[in-house]
Amino acid sequence: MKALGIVNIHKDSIEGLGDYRPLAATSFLGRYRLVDFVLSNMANSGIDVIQVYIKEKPRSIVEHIGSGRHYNINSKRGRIMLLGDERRLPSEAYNTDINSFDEHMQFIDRVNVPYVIIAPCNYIYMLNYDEVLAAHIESEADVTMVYKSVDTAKEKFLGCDTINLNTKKTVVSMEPNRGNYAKRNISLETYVMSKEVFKDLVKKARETSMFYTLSDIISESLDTLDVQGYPYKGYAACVNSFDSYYSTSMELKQRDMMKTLMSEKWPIYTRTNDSAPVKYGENATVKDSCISNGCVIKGTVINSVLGRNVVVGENAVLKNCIVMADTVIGNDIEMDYVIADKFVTVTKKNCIKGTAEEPVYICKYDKV
Amino acid sequence: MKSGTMLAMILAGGRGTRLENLTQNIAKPAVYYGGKYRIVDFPLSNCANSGVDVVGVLTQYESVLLNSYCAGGHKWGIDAKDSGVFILPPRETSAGFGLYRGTADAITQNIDFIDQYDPEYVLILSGDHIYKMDYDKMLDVHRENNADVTIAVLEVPMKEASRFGIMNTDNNDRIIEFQEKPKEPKSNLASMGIYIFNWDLLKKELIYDKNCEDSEHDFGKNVIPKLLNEDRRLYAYRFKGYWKDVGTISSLWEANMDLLGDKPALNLHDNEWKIYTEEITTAPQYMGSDAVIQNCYINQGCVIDGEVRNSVLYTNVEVKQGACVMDSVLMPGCKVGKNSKVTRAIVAPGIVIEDNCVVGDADSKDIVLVSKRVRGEK
Repeated sequence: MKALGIVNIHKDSIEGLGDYRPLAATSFLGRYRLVDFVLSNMANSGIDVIQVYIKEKPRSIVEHIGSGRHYNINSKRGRIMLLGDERRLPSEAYNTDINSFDEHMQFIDRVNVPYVIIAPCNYIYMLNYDEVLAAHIESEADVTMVYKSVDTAKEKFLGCDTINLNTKKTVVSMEPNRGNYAKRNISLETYVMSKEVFKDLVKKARETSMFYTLSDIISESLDTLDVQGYPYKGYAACVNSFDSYYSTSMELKQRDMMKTLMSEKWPIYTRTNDSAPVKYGENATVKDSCISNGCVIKGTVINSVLGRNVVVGENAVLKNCIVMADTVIGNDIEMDYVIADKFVTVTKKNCIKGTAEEPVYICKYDKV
Repeated sequence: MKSGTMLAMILAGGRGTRLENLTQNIAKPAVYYGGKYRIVDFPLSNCANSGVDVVGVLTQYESVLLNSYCAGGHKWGIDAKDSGVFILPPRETSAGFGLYRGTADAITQNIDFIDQYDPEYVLILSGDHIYKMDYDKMLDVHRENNADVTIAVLEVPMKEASRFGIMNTDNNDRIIEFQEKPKEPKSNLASMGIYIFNWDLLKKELIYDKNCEDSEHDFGKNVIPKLLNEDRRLYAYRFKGYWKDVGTISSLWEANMDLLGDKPALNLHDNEWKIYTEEITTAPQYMGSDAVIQNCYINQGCVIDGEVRNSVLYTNVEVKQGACVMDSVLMPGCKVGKNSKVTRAIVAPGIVIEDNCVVGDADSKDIVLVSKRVRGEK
C-alpha cells in the first residue's frame, strides 16, 4: 500500500467515561472499542502500516490493540505501532496531535511510502481509504479532506469542523459547528496528503503556534494549499460528548444501521475475550437490544446495549440502557436511561431512572 | 517444550458414523458443539489451560478441515516458541503408505515426532469428548503413585457400566483388573480413554506391538491389558465432572441441552477454565422488537425476530418473524424463515429453512437431523 495510516486519538475525554480511559478505548456496542472502527477501515483498505498516536492513559489502548494481530494485518510485512509521548510537557495546552507528530517524525520518515492517511478515532463511518487516495492522486491536490453533507447539524456533530467548498470542490473555509444551521458540510477529520505536505504542515504549525492542532493549521493553510473536499455519502457519526456517545450507541445498535458500517466483506475487528455464548433464563425477555457474549440474562432487557459478561438478575428490568462489561444488575432492579460503566454492581438502589436527554452515569467499580 | 514434562497426543481420526450427515465431509472432532465451539476445542483448551504446550493431533478420516483448523495453535494460545499444535496425518514412508491401523498404531507411527521433544510423559486423549479437565492434576497423581500408566476414570451409574471399559481397583486406586464392556461389571469406574504413560515404557511397548501379527494395535484391547498382565503399576485417576462422548445425534442434542437451565450440567461461563475456539468476526447479537427468547444459549452474530425456547443457537443464525424454534440446536449460519416451526431438531451448518415450514415434532422421541434445505409450502 502506498500510504501510512495515522490514527489520531488526540481527543478530549468524554465526561464521566473519560475518567477511566481515553476516548479511543471507550467501549462501543458492547463488544468493540471506538478505535476498532478506524483500525478496521484501514486494515480492510489494505493499509498495513499503521501508527496510533496516544494522548494519555495508554494502558487500555495498549492492552486492546497489542500487536494488532486481530486486525488481520500480516505480522511480518505489516505493523501497528503505538506511539505515546515521551517528552515532558510544560502544560496540557501543549499536548496536541501536532506535538505528537513532531516528536515522532523520525518514525514517519522511516516508513517508505509517499502518502499519509490521517483518520480520527471518534468518527464512525465505513470508508475504503484506497478510493480516497486514488481520488487524491488524480486531483493533484495538496490535501484531500473527507466530508459529509448533513441536514442534522443543529443537533448532531456539535463542535465538529464544518467546511465550505467552492464549485471546484476546493475547501475555502473551516469553522466549528455551533448548531446554528441544519445543513452543513461536516469534516470527518480524515485527510490524505503526501508525506512532504504533512511534514511541512507540522513544521508550519510549530512555527505559528505551539498550541495549534492539525485542524487549526489546515484551516490556516486553506489559501496557500490546494485542499480538495472528498464527499462521503454513507453513515457517519461523531462521538465527542456523553450525549453523542449515548445517542450514537442507541442509533447504531439496530441491525439495519449496523449493516451500514460492517458486512462480511468489511468486518469490524476487535480483540476477542473468548467469552461463552449468551445464556438466557426461563423468564428472560429481551427486545430491540444488542447483547455481547458472556452475558447471563434472567430478567428483562429492552432497547439496550450490553457489554461482555453482564449479569441481569431475576425480575430486573433494563430499558434504554448501556451496560458495560462485567457489570452485575441484581434481582428486581429497575433501570431506565442509565449508562453503567464496567464492574459496577447494582443491588441496593432498586430504581434508577434518567431521561433521554440526561441519562444517569454510574462510575466504574461503583456499588450502587 | 521444557524438558521433563508432558506432551499430548489427541486421537482425532474417527468418523463417528452415527452422527450421519454431520460427519459426511468432516471428522467427528470437527463437529460443532455448544453454540460456538468444535468438539476438538475441548481437549485442546484443556491442554492449553493445563500447561501442556506441545500437542500432536492425529487425523485420518476426512481430515482436510480438521487439519487446517488445528494447525497453528494460536487459537488456543499454544503458540510460544518450542510449543504448538501439530497435525499428524498418516504418511508415506520408504516402507509404504501407513494408514493408522488402531489407536496405538497411530502413536507408533509418530514415535519420531515424540522423540523430537523427548518428553518424560505422554498424555493420550481422544478428540471427540466434551469435558473440562486439568491434566496437570492427573500428572501429579501419576507421579505420587510412581505409576507406569495412569488411566482417568469416571464413576458411571451401575446400570450403564456394561457399555464401558471397567477398571477394578484396590484401596490405593491401583488397577487390578480391566473388563471390556462386561455383562457383570465388578465396579462402576469407566475408562475415559485418557492415559498418561511414561514415554520410555510406552515407546518400548509400541515397538513391540508393531510387530505383533494378531494385535489390533489398540490401547484398550492390546496395550493396556498386556501391561496389566505383566503386573506393571497401573493406577486410576478419578475424574469428577461433566464428560460426554457424543456419538449419536440424540446424545449430541442432549449435550447441547445440558448447557441450558439455571444450574447447567456443563458450565461454560467459567473464567478459570475458558474453552477457546476460532475467532470469527461477526456483528453483535441482536434481538428484534418481536423476539421472544427463553431458556436459551445464543452466540454472537445471531439476529432473532421470532420465538426461541430451550434451544442452542450458534454463530450468525437468523430466526425471522413469526418463526418458532423449540428444543432445538441450530448450527452456524442457519436461517429459519418466517412463520416456520422447528422442534426437537438439530439443524446442520448453513441450512436454510424457508418460510412456512414445519420441521420436527414435539411428541417424537427422536431428534431429527436437518441437513438439506427445507422448502416452504406454496
